[in-house]
Amino acid sequence: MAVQTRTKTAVSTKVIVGVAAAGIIIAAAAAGAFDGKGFSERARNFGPAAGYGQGYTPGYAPGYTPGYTPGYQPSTPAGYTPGYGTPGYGVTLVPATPEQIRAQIMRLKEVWNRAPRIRKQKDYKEYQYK
Amino acid sequence: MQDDNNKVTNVRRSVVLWGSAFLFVANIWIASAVIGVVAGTAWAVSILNAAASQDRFGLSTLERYLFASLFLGSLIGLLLSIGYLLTSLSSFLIVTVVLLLTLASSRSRSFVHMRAISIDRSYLVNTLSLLVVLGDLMILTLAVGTRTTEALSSPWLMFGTPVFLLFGFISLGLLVIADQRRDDLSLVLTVIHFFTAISISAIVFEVGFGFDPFVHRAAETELVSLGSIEPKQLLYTGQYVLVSVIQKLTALPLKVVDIWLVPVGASVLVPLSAYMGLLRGFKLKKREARVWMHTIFLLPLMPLTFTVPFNITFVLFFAVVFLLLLKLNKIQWGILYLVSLFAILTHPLLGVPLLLLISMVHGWNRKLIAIAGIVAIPLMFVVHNLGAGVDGVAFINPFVRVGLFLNLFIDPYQHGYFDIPQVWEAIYLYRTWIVWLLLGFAISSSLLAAAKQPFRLSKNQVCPYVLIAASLMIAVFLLSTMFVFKDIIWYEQAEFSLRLIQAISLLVLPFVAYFGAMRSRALSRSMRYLIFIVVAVVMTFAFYFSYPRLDPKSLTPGVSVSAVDVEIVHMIDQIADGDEYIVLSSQMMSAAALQEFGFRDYIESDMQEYLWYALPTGGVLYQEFLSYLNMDADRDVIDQIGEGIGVLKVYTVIHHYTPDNSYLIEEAKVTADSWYESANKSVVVFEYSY
Repeated sequence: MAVQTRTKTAVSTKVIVGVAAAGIIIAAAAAGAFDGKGFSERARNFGPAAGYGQGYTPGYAPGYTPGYTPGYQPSTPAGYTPGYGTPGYGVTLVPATPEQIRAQIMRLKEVWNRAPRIRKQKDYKEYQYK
Repeated sequence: MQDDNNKVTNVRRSVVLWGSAFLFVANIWIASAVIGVVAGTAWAVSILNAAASQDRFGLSTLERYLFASLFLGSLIGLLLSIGYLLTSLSSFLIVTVVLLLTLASSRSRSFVHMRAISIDRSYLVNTLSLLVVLGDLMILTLAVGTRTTEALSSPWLMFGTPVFLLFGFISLGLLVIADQRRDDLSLVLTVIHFFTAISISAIVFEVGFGFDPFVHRAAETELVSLGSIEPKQLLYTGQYVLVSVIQKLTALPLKVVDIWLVPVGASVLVPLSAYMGLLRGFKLKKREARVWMHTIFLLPLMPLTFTVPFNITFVLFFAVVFLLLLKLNKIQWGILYLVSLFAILTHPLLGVPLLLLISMVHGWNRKLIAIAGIVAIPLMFVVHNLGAGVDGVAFINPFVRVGLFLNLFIDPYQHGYFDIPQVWEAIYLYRTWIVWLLLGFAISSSLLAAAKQPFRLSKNQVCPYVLIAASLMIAVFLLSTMFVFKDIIWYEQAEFSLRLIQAISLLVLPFVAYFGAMRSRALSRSMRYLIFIVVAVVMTFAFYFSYPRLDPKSLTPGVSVSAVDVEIVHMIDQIADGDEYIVLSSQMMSAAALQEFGFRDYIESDMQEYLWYALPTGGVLYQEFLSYLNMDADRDVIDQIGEGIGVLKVYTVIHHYTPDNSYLIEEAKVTADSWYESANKSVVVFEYSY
């Protein structure tokens, strides 16, 4: 039985090593033989030169400072029509009115005022346990 | 007899240490790249050996070398940064730091003896190992062969689909080798593969990759020649002094040092830290640690592909996330705190979270640190915004703008120009869902493991990571909904939030590796190989998404700086004939100008200074350039600038890749006083005189 198990696992290892090795050799040959067409040719057809991607911030990819995390561009969500001056992140900010600021401060005060009470309750519980 | 031998060896080592140190510092004046590299390598190895020999805690050799590297790198960076901030980056400061470290190292008499590496004799696996190395060399050679000075949107335009197959099969081979070999050779192969994965853009883009690296290089060039940059600021100091000092000591071109600092540093530090953390922290078997350290390949590795200050902190954060799994002694804790201080001096956006993460795992008050994690980054930006003269924070309910936060997690690559082929939608599913998938795997596995004692991780191992991730995510929520950044163009406003999310994602990787190893323990060999195939496929996706892409989903990646941009900035300087001028162009041409001339000219007007090339990160000129393009090359826009600022000449530049370029060029020929073309006719320059 032990011999059978060893043979079986050895076969699976041989297979996977063979697949990986053959894959590397064939893919390397194909990559080396690549003539600059195929993928790139097709990809070029999708670029701005083909007329796509226009209507964005002129000439410059939306959400993209090349080199700075391209690929993470939340500024082109579905249904979005960007263009110069289109409200984007932060641009649509409405400045807070004095009333809003006052309300914010009042809320903070409320939290602050409640804090000692919370502490007292906690002390009380600890006291009970003792 | 033994003592005599030791004495002789120590004298020999002292000679190498001091000799290389003197040659190294002398190279500031000799300026020979050969002497710099040879003496620098000898000196670095000597002090690394000396630092790694300090072992009072019975650590493994690899662990000692890892911490010694982190210690020396951070210490050198910190000493130089502090020295620079107090005085300037003078030769005296550099010589002092180098000689002080040499003196400290020379006191160490015990050196580490590297054990001989035993090589596995399995013929099949050895052959596969050789093929893996050759495969990686093939990818690197292909990248060198396609190196270009043209304006390029994506490095993948220079490769065919087979390169991804090749990467995938190498990854599979590597996983099998890590699983099968009884020695640690696969660690070397993993380091080489990691280097291959993150160095494509550094090789392909001959003029330089990205935009921001050009700005930082211009600053570093200024620092090398002047010894200081005004105004002095803490931000970025870590990178600037490190790159500048390496350049001064080795005499290598600054561009080479700058471009390769992050890819080379990351490809050594990250894989070895991951291995060490999994092996000694999670107590995985060697074989398991070697296999599952490949989780570091599962996320897109963009921040490791080029050098900017944030990316340096990203490398450190990545390594520390794994090193914190170890049972650290007090010296190691000290080294990690030192690393975080250096990171803060380089870029506090991730430097501060790094410090908080270390403090959290170290066992400081967790509630306090979680609260600090929530408020620290927003608070930094309040201070930054106030300093920049804009409102620190939008005083409105952040939940009203919750959409801005949720937008950070959606697939931004949607468009209505044509039906996107399903295969591309499927490929992009990886990008949208990979972090959630990994998170789901880690959570479900930990829940399952709760029932099985041997799989269970202690609360102390898990809680700090969960708490810091949660508090940083709340910080991202506040950051994305409450802030406006003055110097950042509108489509980049979410940039800081996105960068933080990338870093937070790293926190899940150790647990994915751990549970991956645990759950595959009971599986048959064939099943393990099936899992390896899936992991290799995901690694290949991550490889693709580590660089900008031009495909049916991603239509508008930016274009790189080209040789023509460099040609044009010199041409404009000549035709301006000494007159004061302003150039409105794509940001990539501005990057070329910064590379060629540095921050040479500022135009003063209305108590404001304008860099003579438009940049989206500074001033209003770039917005005016966009107006000019949107208004069909309208002269009025240029007149307002020319007359308002009071320059004699304003130049506008239209590239062949600018949308509607043919139409805009014809319009601009009418409104401009004269126009010029680049040699290959891909760029047209328009002159407006006053």
